[in-house]
Amino acid sequence: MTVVVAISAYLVLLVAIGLLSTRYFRGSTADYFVASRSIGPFVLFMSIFGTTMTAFALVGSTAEAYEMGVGTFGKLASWSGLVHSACFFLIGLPLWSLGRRHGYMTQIEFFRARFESRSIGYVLFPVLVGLLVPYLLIGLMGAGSVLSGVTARAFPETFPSTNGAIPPALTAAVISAVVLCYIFTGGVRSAAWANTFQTLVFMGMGLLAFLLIAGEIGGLSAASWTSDPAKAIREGNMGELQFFTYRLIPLSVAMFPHLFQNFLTARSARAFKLLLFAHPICILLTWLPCILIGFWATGALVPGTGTPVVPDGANPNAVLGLMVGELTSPLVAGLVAAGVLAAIMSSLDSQFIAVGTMFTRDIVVHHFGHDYFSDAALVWLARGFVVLVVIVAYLLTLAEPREIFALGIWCFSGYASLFPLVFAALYWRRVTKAGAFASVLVTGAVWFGLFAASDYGADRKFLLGGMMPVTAMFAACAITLVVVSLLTRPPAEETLGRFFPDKMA
Amino acid sequence: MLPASLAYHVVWTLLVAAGWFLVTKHAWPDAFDRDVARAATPPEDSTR
Repeated sequence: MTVVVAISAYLVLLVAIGLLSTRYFRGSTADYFVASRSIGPFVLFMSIFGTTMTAFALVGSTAEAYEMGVGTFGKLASWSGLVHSACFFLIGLPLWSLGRRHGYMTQIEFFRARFESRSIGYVLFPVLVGLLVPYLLIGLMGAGSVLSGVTARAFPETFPSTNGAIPPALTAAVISAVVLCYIFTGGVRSAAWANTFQTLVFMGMGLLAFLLIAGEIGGLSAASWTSDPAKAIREGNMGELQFFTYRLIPLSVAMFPHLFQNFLTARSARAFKLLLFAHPICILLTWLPCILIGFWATGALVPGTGTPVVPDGANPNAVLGLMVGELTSPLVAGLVAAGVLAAIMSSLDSQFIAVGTMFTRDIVVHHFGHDYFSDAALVWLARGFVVLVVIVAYLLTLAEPREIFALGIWCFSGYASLFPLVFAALYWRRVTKAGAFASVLVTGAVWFGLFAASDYGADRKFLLGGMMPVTAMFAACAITLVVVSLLTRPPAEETLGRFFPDKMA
Repeated sequence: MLPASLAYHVVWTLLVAAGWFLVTKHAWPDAFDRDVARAATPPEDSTR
């Protein structure tokens, strides 16, 4: 019961903060979609950091460290610190500048202008949204799993079919409603404010769990000495090629539609400065405690009993919950669960708005023209789409099997493999419309072929010659883009003048 | 306290943060803000 009270208090506070931000809402599409491009350095950083961190940062990292050892940090976190910031600097900053100068609010508006093609939008739209929908489902299902884990046996009479735990479908409904509460009225600005709060919560709760668990098992040194030494090294837990090719995955942040929209909210280019150097530090502060908790779980014993905290055969995703539940108090368990929900919702809100914005701007406005609807009507249209997206995502969580979690890495791989497209659009004058079309179609085909070969994500250890599948997708995209562009007619000088003004003589 | 293979990555992450901090201090492309400000300013009336 303490857990539910702690989580409920957190959700109420979150809605209050989200609704408070709506006092600054100006009623325009520019405010609803990109917060009138007025967000300062601190909120921009917290919002983008919160958006890039999902349930995987807390629950998944602990589970991976328990299974694969401390090499998980090198595989997922330390490289992300460098690559994410590089993407913000090399991709986010120029896109912000172009968005500000030309009024873009979505990725597709940028690509349509850069490649002089309306049709490229209709090819990219299903790809970008198709990859985002499973990502949304992972968040909703993750929230359901976490809460059913920490409330097991709490309500035996109310929820007998789930062993007394709050059913995942109910959690997903509540989470969807809470997120909808604040993004419906305030759009991206409310999401940014809420994300700032949520980022502080999930980082704080991760550190709290870490310190309390370390104290309970005899301090930091004792905790590490009693852990499985085989998990203290990378060798034997994951192959070198797998380890190194995993490093392509963080490039996905350059193509996430919700991050693109976050970039555009920045007040100035200088607002990106804090993001660049604070992002790696916060990745460290978020991931290191969870990696160590997962590592310690390999040898941790329940105090006074001598039995392992994590029994043999336990679901790795339950490791964080078991460590917190067995080694801290119910109040801390509730707060940590609230932290996990914060990490999930700080991504969900931006994703919901991104899909709603894309429907409104890239399909409706593009089809009917900019003058067909008034600005106020467009805000209501966007709100309608956001509600629709939330309902569809929720219904999909009821229909999809739990294995949807396995799709996470395939979503990231899909976005990462399209990195050459956005990089070339910004830095290569010679890239052409035909090259862009061909690369998107070939990448999609390779993605689908490998996805099918992995038994549609069921084979979670699927590799290609020891490498992550993203390697082949990325290579297919880059090679097709370069070859087809070189074989086709270059873009018009007028177009190049808009995107490379300094290089025009 | 920290396994050596983890400590190495912790140091790497801190060096990455320090590297980006130096970029923001000494290699920041001010042109982005300048370009946006220029684009937002209406051109001067050449008939005056």
